[in-house]
Amino acid sequence: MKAELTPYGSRSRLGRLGRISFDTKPISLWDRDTATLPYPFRRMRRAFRDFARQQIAPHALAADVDPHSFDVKPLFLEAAKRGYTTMFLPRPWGNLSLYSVATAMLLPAALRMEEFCAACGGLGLALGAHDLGIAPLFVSGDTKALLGWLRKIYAEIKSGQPSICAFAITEPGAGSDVEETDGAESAKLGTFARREKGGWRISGRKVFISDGGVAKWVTLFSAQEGKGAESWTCFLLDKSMPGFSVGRRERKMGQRASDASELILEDVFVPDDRVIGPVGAGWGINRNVLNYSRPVVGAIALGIARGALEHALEFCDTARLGNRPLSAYQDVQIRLADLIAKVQAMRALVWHSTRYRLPFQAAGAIAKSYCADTAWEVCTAAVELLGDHGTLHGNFVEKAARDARLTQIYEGTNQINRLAVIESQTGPEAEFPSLQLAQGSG
Amino acid sequence: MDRSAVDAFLETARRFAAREIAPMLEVEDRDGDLSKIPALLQMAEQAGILAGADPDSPGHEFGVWGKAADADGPLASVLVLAELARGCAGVASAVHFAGLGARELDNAGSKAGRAAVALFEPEWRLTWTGVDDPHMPGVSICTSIVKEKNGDSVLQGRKAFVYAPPGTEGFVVYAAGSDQWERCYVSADAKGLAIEDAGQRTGLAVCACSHLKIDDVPSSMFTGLPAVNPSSFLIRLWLGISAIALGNAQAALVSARQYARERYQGGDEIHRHAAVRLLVGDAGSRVSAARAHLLSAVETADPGSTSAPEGGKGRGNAAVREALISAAAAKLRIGTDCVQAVTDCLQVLGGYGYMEDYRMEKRLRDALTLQSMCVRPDDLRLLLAESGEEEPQTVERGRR
Repeated sequence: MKAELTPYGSRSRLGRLGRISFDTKPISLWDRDTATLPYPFRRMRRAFRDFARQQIAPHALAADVDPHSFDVKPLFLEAAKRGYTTMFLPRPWGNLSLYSVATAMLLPAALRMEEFCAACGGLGLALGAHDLGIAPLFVSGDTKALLGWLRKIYAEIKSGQPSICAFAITEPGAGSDVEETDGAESAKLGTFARREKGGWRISGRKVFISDGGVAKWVTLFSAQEGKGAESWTCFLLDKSMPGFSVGRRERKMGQRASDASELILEDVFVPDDRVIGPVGAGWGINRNVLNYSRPVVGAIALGIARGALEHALEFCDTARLGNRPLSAYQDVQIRLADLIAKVQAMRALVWHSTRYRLPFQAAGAIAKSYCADTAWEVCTAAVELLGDHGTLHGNFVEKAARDARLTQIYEGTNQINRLAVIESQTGPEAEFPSLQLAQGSG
Repeated sequence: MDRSAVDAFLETARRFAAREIAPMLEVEDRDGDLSKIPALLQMAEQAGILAGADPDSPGHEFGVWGKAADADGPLASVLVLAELARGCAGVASAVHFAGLGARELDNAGSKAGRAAVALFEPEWRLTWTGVDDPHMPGVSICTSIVKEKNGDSVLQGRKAFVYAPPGTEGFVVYAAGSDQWERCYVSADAKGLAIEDAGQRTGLAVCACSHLKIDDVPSSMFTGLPAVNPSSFLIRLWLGISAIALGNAQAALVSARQYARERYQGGDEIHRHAAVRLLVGDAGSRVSAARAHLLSAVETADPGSTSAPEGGKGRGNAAVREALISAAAAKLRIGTDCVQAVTDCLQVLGGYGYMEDYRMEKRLRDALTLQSMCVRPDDLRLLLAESGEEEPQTVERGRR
């Protein structure tokens, strides 16, 4: 191929002004995207990626093969040393970036989860689920929770304890029903809190709780006895409470390194000071936590897809067919380009969804459902692209596909998330052109 | 074989799946109790489901890809594979690959034990020209029988992704001869043959997958077989994989429908919710289409026309080519549609679908493996693009 016909070669023939406007810098898309961020976020992104490469990636495949033997706590403590597990409070108690609060509150979490999950979806979730457990303390508006309990938990972490927090809403008979309005109204709940002197007695079961088996603290939601989801109250439990135990640890298709356990409550006494937010305000806290978590799940999906893409690119560049690398074949190039475009589109959507002043329902639901579906497409396309090689565990892409599949299910299935989009966009937040015109002419 | 005989075999397969395959999956392991597989395959052999090259073996005539498949066509084998796959796609794959090996040996007049067929190579992209003749321009097969200076022959080369069920005793190796394809049988313990496990895979754990390094295996260690090009093998290979993908998806659909009638969310049994109905409806339509496509491809693979031309050379007859195109299209389309159908079925089950206990995630892993194995989907697309004006005459055949 003639060098002067390539973008790089043809640029060299331009004059200075022409060369200034013609960008052919040999830097990756990752670097280009990073350069679009303000400096504090650029720094964060690089640090998250370094951590992922050094601490997460080396364990990815082994933790996936034998998750029950893998102890996530040392990894949690490594992340804690760098402040990645205490990001809901500012210094000196935590590592919340006030700059991010002022500009794009969720962007650090999205950047972090993309990098972590590009290295391993399971280990990324194991670290990220801790923030999901913390989130009710943050969004409840309860100063006792924020300045009392959250400070205590962060102090434990900063002292070197693996004080992981988990978020418990799902019940055996109520999965989708605890994630959306219509379902909640008729949900068959099984966990109830009975008022007692000085506190509450809670009995029931929660299932599929990420980090449930390894967490010390759990933000758990329970209806009041004899009432429905509208009575939900958020409680902060810890594993030392009598009657509170961990049941079955689930065996999952993917994200296997992340624990998903059953929590069993047998008349657990929870004192009043462990109620987070007002009694009966739990459903609102839950809904708002989902507003904060869904864009981040979009970032998880993005990270998993990017990891699959990177491994597919590497494979196609090194594996040879005849005397050329696979990536020299046009059919392979077409497919790789599709994957790159999809990953870029996912990132654009995630970053956009985190730049609103405050997270809101439609933004999170759109980001989550679109990115989850697209991540599955990207990862399965990567498996197909590599053929038989794509089904080998050691080549990473099949693990990524298994990991990506879960993002279409948790934090509300993608069907529930679509209903969440419509709930707001055909409700109070709706804006219809013909209506606007009519109002304007009136 | 008349329809009643086919139905009888299907019933045998159904009962086998219920009695022998289902218990294998009742353990807490993502792919079932794999230690039971050797005994399970032996039972399949005794039941006449698993074919053997030895004429005295129960499945020699009517097992999957048994002798009757040459005379009667692939319908019975394909339907039995789909039925077995409803129980476990991995077990169905083991029966499929064992049958393929038995067919190769039997057609070559060999009575060797269970064999796997080794055709694909690390750096060979399948082309029509390559199927007909390994020495056409642009095709490079590295496995060959080389005549040494002292007059002896040695077999050398590499084979990739050889699917070998438990109990495999040897390999039918396709090699590039002097001007045509050649085949030989190599025992698994032959000197110079190194078998490397491909490693943990997404699905089909029952059926081992290996790479072969063939390092100057002397002629005393391999048996030459009559030369034939791999058309017939590829037709059976792809039809079988399509059938397994279909059976796997059919079972997933049954499970999803059943779950949707038992699960209560959103104030009702979930099968009444439109979101679930869309998923089930989509999955159902894909499974229906896949079934119709498979039966059409099977009809195109007529008996008598699927025997590859002798000598392993030349363009082959038009019927063989048509059957090969049809099988390739079926593998491509059915593989893709069945992955989508199974993932939709998993979505119906929600979080439970993602857990090993419900066995739906295993079905999805198996479907993904079936889609990508034994020639990549894009390679099938490229192959089909080359197929030229010889459009399959399936409409005409359907009017018989």
